[in-house]
Amino acid sequence: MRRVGFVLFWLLGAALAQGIKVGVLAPLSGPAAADGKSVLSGIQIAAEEINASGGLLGRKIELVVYDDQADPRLAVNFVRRLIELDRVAFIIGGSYSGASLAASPVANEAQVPFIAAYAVHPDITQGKPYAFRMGLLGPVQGRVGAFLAHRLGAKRVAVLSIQNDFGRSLEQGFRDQAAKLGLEVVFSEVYPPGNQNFTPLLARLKASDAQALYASGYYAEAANLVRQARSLGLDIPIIGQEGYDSPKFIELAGQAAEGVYITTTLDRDSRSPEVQGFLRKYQERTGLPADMVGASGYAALKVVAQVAQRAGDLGGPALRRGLLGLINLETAVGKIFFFTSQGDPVKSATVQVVKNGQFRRFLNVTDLALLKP
Amino acid sequence: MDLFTLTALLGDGLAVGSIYALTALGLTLVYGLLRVLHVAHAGVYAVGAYAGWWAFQKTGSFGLALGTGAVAGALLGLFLEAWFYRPLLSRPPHVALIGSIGLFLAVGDLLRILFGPYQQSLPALAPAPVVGMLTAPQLVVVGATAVLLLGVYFVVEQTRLGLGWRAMAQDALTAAALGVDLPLMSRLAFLAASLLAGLAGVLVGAYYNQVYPTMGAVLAYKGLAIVVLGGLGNLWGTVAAALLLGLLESLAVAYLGHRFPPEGVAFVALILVLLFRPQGLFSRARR
Repeated sequence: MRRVGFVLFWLLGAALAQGIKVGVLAPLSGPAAADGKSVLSGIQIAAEEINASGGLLGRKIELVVYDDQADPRLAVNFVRRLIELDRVAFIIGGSYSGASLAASPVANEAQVPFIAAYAVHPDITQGKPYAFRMGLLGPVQGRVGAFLAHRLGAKRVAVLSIQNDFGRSLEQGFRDQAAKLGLEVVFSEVYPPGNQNFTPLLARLKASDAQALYASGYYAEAANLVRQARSLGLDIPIIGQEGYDSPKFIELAGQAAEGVYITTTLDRDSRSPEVQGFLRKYQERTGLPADMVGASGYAALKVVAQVAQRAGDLGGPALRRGLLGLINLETAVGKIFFFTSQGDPVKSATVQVVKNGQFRRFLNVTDLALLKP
Repeated sequence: MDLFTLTALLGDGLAVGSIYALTALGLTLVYGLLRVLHVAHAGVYAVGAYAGWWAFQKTGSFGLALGTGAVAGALLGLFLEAWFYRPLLSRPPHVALIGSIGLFLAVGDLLRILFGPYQQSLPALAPAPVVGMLTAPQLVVVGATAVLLLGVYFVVEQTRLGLGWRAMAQDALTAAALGVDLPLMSRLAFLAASLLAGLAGVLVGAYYNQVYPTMGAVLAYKGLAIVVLGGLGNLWGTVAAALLLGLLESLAVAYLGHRFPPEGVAFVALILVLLFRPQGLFSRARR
């Protein structure tokens, strides 16, 4: 009996000394690398914060990070590895929609919670009890874009979408809301990820009588898009979304970035201590202004840790119960009102506008009719 | 089509075509002399762009950036000729081709390790309209290309070096027998080709205000298509094919959109040419 007690004690000690492994998928190289580095910085800041204040359930968080290059094939391989070899407690998906769409079913099947930090595609969580999201759904964000176009007084709008899961889900939401608000889509085109030359499309767009342009894409494409639009003298409002939300966008687009609107989740002018604390820590750690991607990674780990801590359990079912029971939680990426049964947050959105080389608040959106998935 | 759209598309097509011409010209020169498909040429282009970016960071002068890009490209070209291609030339041609592809990938990764995976900005050309809808960056790219092409024309058609290149391309053995220094010819061809590629890298980096490790990827495969379209080894055919492709792509994007991928224009053209005019658009068939 005494021996059993000793073994138990030893096991307990070993478990205490051992950290909790948390898997991270992020595009650290390839075209999405700036976002990958940012999301990882956000997650690392959250892990350090949690470890400094006693850890999660008394154990230190250890991050196991793989570079999925935003490539669905790599994401599937790495998510298997995280589950089978590294035996992580849960996984933060810090990658784009395509890669996250490939990874989340694998984690879900193994009942390992998967939290997409900022990927927008609805199917990442749809019908998967162990898959969750911290960011805005694509269609929701698209709706906010249409709301903004209407608010800016546009009646005829142009849509230019990046040709992938991200762009498709944004466009769907934009078109739905545009139809409701009576906006007419007078120009609609797509372009492939990585595209640099937008001049031919923009030249034709200029010949249309659109009064605002809703354009999806990531910062590298977006920078060229707005540069070339402005150099063609196309001076209608350009409405982007969280893909633009990076200091790199402002650096690469230069003067042309001024006045560009984006719908996103990181409100730089928020008075929430959670947001301001994050902005400061991110700037200190990386030397760069914070972006939505970093804030999402930070919020994802913090919210999950908070829920697990409260439940006293790291398992998928406990995490699910905990997240679904949350109400009105202030995070670095805005206020989460509650989680839907699909594991998606209903949360505030913000419209930021570039002013003097910085993202500033234009307005915040808290209208549930717009934000509910 | 109104005048505005027409000038915008013309300017865009010519600028993109000029970029293609500058890089494909080097490819075709190297192929003409050595019968090597120099895929790593696109790597030289990326290195040139980084060198130009670095110089622009330090000095703020676009002229110095172009010069640094050209010198970096030329030096890398000479190095590759002597230490990479020369030892491989005695092997079957596919060895050099595979080596070249590997080298291209290695250069991209090296740039990533050295400078990070980010797009770096090279804000030398302010994107403003100048004449009609032609923008300043378009005019700079087209103008610089025109000057460089005139230079190449002069060298190829009017100098002993050009005569040597043409002789070597036509029949290397006879040329050697008549006293043409083949190793020197090939060294100088790599020098010229890589210098142009380095310049093109800096021009493109400034044109799009983005310099990044994989920036040569598109040119690596499109350049080969252009070289075949122009007739392998045919310098002026290559320039014409490059400009034509730039204009066609611009029109295709504007009027077909990306639902028909514009990258496909080059390859549809390539298939048609291989089927109906395998000697290239601008070459006479060999009898």
